[in-house]
Amino acid sequence: MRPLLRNYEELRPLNKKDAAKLHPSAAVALGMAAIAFQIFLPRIAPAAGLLDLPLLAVIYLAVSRRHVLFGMLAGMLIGLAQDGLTHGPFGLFGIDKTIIGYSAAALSQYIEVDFPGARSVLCAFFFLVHQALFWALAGGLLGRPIVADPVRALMLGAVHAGLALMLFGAFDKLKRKA
Amino acid sequence: MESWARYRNIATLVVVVVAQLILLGYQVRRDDDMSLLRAWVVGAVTPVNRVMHGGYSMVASGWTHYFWLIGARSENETLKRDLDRIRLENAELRRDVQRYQRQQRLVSVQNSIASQTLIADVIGGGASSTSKEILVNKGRSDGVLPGMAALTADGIVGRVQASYPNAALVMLIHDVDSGVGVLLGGSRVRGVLKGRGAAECLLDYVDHEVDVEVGEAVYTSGDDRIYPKGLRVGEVTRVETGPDFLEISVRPYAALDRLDEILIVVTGVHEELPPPRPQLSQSLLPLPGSDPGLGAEFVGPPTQEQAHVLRSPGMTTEADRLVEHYRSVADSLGVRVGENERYTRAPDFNQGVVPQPPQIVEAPLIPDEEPESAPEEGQEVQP
Repeated sequence: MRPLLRNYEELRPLNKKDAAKLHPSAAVALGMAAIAFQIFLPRIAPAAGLLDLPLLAVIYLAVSRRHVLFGMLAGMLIGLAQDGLTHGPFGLFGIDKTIIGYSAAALSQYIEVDFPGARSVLCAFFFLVHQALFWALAGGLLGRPIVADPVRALMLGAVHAGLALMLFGAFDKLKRKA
Repeated sequence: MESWARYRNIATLVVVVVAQLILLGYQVRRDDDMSLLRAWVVGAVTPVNRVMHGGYSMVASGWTHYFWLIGARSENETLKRDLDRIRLENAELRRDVQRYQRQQRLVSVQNSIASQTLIADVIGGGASSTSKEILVNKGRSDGVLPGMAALTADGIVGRVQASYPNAALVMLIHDVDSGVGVLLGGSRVRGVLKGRGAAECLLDYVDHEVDVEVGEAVYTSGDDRIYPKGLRVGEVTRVETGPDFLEISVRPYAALDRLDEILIVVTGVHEELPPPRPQLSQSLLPLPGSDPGLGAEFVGPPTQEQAHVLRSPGMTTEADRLVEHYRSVADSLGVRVGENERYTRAPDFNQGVVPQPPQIVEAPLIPDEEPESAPEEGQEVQP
């Protein structure tokens, strides 16, 4: 079994090899599907509105490529698209997901993200980071009346971790064999 | 150059984030909705969303029109099973309620009659179609002995024919071997109720002179020392004239063909009978040709109006003619009958009466006996 934590220098060649597995079109389709489902699912299941599927897509794309610029770009595009579908200003989710994409990709270079448990924990962690950034930007920077509920955020983080466990396994089927 | 390569990624991140912050600030400051950018985003997402919506509609339609119908069918079967089960439960509950009501009636009868009784469930019928018997779940161990009477809330049922340790055989009153001492409720005339193997029984040994009405109640007389006196038996349904006695059909009150619980009389006590049918007064019979109901009303001395009625031409009895004669004599003498003062002369009611010589009647000759002496002429012969 491979160790969970790796040396940054040792991981670099491995990252390039893994990055070739996910086709760019599949990455684009995944991002768009996440946005589309985020809009569509609450129509048939209102509770799905509590989920942040674009965030899961950003994290998955970032840790799959293990490339910080790709993660950052994916996060920015998906975040801005999410902003475009809300009534808020552009950049609110864009900044959040840009930072998340970058961070997830950077962290994936030190953590063995093929391990399902690690990806789940990573998702829960980044969901909390995302919430904190959102509260900071929306409440602190834009002065919006945001009610920060850490308990609810923790519960939703656990939910996203469980969801990531299932979805990331399905997303892995999109990867090409090296 | 090497340091730039090292910090390239983080620098790019900072630039991107700062650019978005500037965009954010621009929108807030200028209150610009960036509608063009939003239109691009929506334009890019909408086709995907439309495809998803179409797929969902197709799936939902298929589910609703096919898979859901399968569910509906199974649900329908489940509901049918539930309905059958509930119907069975309902029938059982109805039976329980009816059983409870019957037992309540029996308990009510138990408390209302003086005899000591116990409730027994009918657990079987007669062994043959001709024998009218039932088997009950109380026997010798419960104190049930042969000869004890059995009844329901409606009336008597029969008598215990045989007693076993935990069961007893009861012969019903419409069995051909059954006989019950009874009396008619209206006239109190006694008779014997005999079974005929049919729904109705025969009340025998009632004389022809007895006035028996259809619908008259029949009670036990207590003469047979089995059924206590005063228990309801049945009602008269038909009265016919037989060769020796009246042939009276009696329909038992108790539903003998659908007995579920009965009372067995352990210690019999005679009951009070209802009052007999009131008889018409015989003091003054109705007059011929007059109102048939008149006689029933004339009890006691007649009133003036009734006396006038009595003097009407329709009165043709001998007594009436005699009264009329006395009255006409009194009228001719100027006296009023019953109103003369004391020590006055009584009216001569023989006035105008011509004495008639005694009538001579010849006695018939008896051929076998030779008369010692023939009666003389003018000798009066007593009839």
